[in-house]
Amino acid sequence: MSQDQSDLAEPRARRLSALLREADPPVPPIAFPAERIARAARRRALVRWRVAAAIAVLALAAVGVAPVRAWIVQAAHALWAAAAGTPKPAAIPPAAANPTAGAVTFSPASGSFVLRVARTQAAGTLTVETTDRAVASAAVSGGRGSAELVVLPDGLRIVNDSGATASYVVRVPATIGRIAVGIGPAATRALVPSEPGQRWVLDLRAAR
Amino acid sequence: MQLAELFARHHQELYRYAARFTGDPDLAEDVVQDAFVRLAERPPADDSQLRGWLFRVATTIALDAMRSARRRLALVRERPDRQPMGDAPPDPAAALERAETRRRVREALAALGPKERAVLLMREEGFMHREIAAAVGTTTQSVGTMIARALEKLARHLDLDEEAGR
Repeated sequence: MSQDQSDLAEPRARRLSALLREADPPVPPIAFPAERIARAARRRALVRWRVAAAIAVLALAAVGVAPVRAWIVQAAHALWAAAAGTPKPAAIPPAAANPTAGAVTFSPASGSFVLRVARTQAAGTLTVETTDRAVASAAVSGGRGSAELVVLPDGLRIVNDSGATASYVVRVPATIGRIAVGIGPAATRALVPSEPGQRWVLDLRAAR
Repeated sequence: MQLAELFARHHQELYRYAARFTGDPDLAEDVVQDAFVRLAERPPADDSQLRGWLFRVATTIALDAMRSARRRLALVRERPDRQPMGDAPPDPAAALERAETRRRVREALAALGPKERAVLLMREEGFMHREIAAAVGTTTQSVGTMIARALEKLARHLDLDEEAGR
């Protein structure tokens, strides 16, 4: 801004103010747009309800997916552990959940791993493998019948049907010192990994 | 504060600004109402900046409406002044003079860019430079320069330098 412009700005502004006032149209009676505002509020409320309904439907659908349910159980355990002051189990990284239904990936919490199959089955096997990876995984590998893979702070629980014929493959880090396997009501069996690549195949019927 | 109270407090100055900015009294009414509907829908996070927010929103609404082909400004511009019902008939000579002033002012303001026009008219409404800068999206330092340049342009169309002795 030049000095000339600066010096002239104030008197020009004063003159402009006078001209603007002279040229202003009279202010008409303008109604407060109450009805439009109420309509807009109703629209927003409707949109909020729709979004909430969509989220509820998605959440309910997600709960029916085993990995998501496993994640919810894991999160609940972590919250409980934090509230109770017990050591916090290793969290499942958000990206770690296998997108395939009936498969989970997670980080075991400690040097001891408890693997429990809720019931004996009509057929099928439980395969336990050691791996050089730091994470554990579990998957349903075939057969029929529904099963949920529930990640727990100290291991994994396979919640199955007694009539199922599905098989399961559980891979755990070879660094785990001890794997306790329980199938149905039978006594727990201990597996002691020593290196990656070890494999135990347990008959889910044999436990009967 | 309730919306209706805010409306009562600000609608007249907002109308004056919008009418000057658009050169269209009818459009200015719509702008004022739209600004308050917008306020109800998405109020500003900081209530202390409410007045500046209203003027900024009014500017945006006015610009959108002016760009829209829905409004036929040319027809509106030819309309005679609206007078409140019950007023005495205006003196024809005074009315003519006032209409001429209005036309010159409107044309002069229309020759400015939207940002210059907003800056100048917000200053007329008593806003501080920093408030104007926030409303039009520029720096506080440049507001003074923009005002001086806008006045320089207006001086070519209007008799702004009469009192300045030029």
